[in-house]
Amino acid sequence: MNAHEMLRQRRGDWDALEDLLRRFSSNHKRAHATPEELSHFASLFRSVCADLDRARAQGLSDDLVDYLNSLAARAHNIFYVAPPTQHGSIIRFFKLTLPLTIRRNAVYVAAGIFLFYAPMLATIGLAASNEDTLYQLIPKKMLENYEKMYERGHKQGRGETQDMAMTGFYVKNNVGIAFTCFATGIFFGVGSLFFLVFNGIMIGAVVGFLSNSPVAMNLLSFIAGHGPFELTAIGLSGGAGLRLGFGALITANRLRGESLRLAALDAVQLVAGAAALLLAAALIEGFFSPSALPMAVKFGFGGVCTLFLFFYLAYWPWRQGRARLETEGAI
Amino acid sequence: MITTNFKIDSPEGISFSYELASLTDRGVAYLIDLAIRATVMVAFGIVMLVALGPVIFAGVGMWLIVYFIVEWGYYVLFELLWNGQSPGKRLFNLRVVKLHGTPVGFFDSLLRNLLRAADALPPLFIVGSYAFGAMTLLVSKRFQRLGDLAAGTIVVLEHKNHYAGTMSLPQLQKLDHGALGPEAALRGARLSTREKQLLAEFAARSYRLHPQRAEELASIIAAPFAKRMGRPLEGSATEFLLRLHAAAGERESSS
Repeated sequence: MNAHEMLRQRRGDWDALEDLLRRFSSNHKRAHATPEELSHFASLFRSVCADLDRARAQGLSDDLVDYLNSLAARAHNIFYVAPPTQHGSIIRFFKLTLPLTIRRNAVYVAAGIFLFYAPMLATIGLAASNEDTLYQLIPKKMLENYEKMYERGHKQGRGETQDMAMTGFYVKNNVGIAFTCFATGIFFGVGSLFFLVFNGIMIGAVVGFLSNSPVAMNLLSFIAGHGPFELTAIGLSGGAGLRLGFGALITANRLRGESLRLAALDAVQLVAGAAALLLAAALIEGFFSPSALPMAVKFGFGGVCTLFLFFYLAYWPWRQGRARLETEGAI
Repeated sequence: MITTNFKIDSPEGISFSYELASLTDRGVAYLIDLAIRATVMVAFGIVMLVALGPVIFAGVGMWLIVYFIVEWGYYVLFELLWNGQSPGKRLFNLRVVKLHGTPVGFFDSLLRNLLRAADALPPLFIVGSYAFGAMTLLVSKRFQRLGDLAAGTIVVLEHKNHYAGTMSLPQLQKLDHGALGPEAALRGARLSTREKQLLAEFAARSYRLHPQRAEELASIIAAPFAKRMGRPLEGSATEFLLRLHAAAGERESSS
């Protein structure tokens, strides 16, 4: 059989497969294919694989082999499409998968949170005890600009429309910080280390400076609600970045690429957890933090959230998870 | 060896290769995606400006939040909806696949796209320069930027509509085998697989070439064939090769 004959005999099937591939190029249509379509797809795909094999073995024209190769490669990708997301898999992720991943990577998570919170608290302490040193770190002018933003008084709530603008700014800014802390970790952890400490100092300086000012309670009650989520998310992202970086750095008898990919499997789950915290923070920041609720409510809410986060990060995997941890000997 | 092809063994027991997308392919696709995102953000900004003129702060806030969603969610959303393709990638027939040729999942896509923050360094005005990503892509074996290395993904170039006309050989069917019968043609000339392939390739290409150029090329290839068959090369070398190709195919299918 030469290329010409193979084309004449088999072209119908190839065209049929091309049609199916065009239709299944949207994941939605692929997921809603009828059983008849799928079995047709399977048999067409396998027959094209056989054609490719035959064309190669018989040394048919390069054009034809190339064509069949690309057809089979495209079909392969769509045929082995990822299984549809199962119902309840998001709940399962936060209830079991993520806590277990946090346990496995406790060192990195703790390091990330520590590297962010320690410089932040230290800078806040510095601001309280020795303002002049603080101004050497960050110009006073810059800090005063922040002060102006909060002066309007959160007690009465700002104008609603201004809240929206500020919320938008904070969300964009802080999510950017968190994701940068993660992504730059791929440079052997150095980027995460730098951005965690840097942002810890910056945020600490702003909070510390404003704590000394007359508008302190406005600011503190404003950040009490979403702060725990947002700040912890930055620490968690940084921890995920450290995990990634150490995977690239310390390969433990694996190829470097493989070690990195393995570390990334855990790191991406941690960063997904951080993204969820950021989403929660954004919602609180948009609706709760700027509201005219009494300060006690805001502080109380912040306290409860902090306890919840501590519990979730340090203890969570409930019954099922703890049983699995014990069998794995992870703690 | 550096090659732009990446071979995959499939469960069907055959292997096929993907052509890896080059830096230029990916760069151009990125610029298209960037233009789309910029257009969306500008259009949304204008809508906000018109709709919320008096309460512009609310508009700014909404705009910033949408900007954040578009910035971090654009690629993940499309790569999941369109199985590894963003609009820019789709335009240039690029697709993100896992190292084994299987489709990207949510976490793969999230990882490779969050790591854009590292690939895009150092910043260039308000967008990334992608200097790190480009450097990694150029030195890695499979053209992967940092995000691809971590997620275990590659970006491949898919060929579409790649055969059709060239293989239909309408003239071949019209050729009269009588003048150079299959038996006569192949007497003393046992063609190897590689030789048959050469003939098939010439047959496929001859219709894309200018006739004079085809004849020029054919005369180079035809001479050794004619010599082996012990007959002088008369008339059109192109026709001689096409007949030989047809004869080779016929002999095989009849045997």
